[in-house]
Amino acid sequence: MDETSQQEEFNLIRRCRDGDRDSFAALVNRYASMVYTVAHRMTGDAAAADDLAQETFLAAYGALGSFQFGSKFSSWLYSIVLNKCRDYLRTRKPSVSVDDLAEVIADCAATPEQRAASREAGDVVQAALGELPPEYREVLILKHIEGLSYEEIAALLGVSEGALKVRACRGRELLRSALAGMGVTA
Amino acid sequence: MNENLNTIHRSLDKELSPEEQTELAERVRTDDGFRRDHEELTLSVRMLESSGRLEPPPGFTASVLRRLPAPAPSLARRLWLVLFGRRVLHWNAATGVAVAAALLVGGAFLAQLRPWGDATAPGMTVRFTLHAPQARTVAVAGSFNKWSAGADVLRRDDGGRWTIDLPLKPGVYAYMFVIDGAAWIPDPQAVSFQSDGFGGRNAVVKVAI
Repeated sequence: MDETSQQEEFNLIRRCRDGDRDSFAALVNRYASMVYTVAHRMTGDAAAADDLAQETFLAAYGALGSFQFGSKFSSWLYSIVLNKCRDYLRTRKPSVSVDDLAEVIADCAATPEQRAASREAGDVVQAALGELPPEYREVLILKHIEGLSYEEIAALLGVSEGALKVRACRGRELLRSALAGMGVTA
Repeated sequence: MNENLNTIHRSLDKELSPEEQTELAERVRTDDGFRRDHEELTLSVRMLESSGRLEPPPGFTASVLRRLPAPAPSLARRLWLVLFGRRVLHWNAATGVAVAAALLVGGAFLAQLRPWGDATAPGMTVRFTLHAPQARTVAVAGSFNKWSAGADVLRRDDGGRWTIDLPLKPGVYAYMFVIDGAAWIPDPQAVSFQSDGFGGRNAVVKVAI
């Protein structure tokens, strides 16, 4: 985000603090897809993702007074939604079963490349991510779906970059195994 | 993690130098095992990257806005609500009986006190006395004479005691003695006192039938 856009975003936040709901609607529109994607990829459940994403924005609205201008609003939202997802995952069983995986695989195209490019690729990725422990899942989502740098992820998660890289390597290995188990990469 | 996999992961993180990238390409071309690791890990990451972002359900923003807490009313609005806002009183028979009893008891108590009664009406004679041998004049000022410092002047006897008898209607009266027209003191012999609202206190006399 360039400086002008960030300044515009800060102005939106200031107006939100003054009770302007239209400005908050603009912020929600801007980040809805980002927050919903993280929630969906973390939980594997569309309804839960919808609810968690809404709760993320409600929590952000309630805490706008404590937002530090100079930091990124998106980073703030990432932190909130990840915390919401962790709480959700702690209290619920994994939503992806072996049967779910088999059903997804059956819908996929013949070759790995075609599978990757197909409409169902997202479902395959979702199913494979569901096989990973949440701490590996969140690093892969932030790094390879959201495109954050290790520096940004380290700041978000409070983990050193070195530890994050080790976690990312291990996560990719697990993802590879999960995809191989589904017949995608093997 | 072995060195081969480490190189592939560093490649996926775009951390290889040009020379290392050349070496990796050569390994991919000549080493079947390395090539398989590289292809499978690269494909895994590409699938993640290509899965992209998802769109939330339609009406997502509207749903969030509906769940926002109601905006806090302005100070003026809050004041207006306190003064003129309608309220619902929830009560039952027991509450009604309790309120009626409280009104009866309170009314009887107030009727007995009649705190700021008409002091000019006939009533009891109350004697005010103050022992002040050094004083040149002593007056009593209170709620019964609109706090006049000259209306009711006490008379001195030989022993330095100042006295006045005033007819007062039953009620509760606050008062002070005024010595030499300047020093206001509460009656040191009064049995009760009340705040004068300015940090001091007035003597209080209760007149009952």
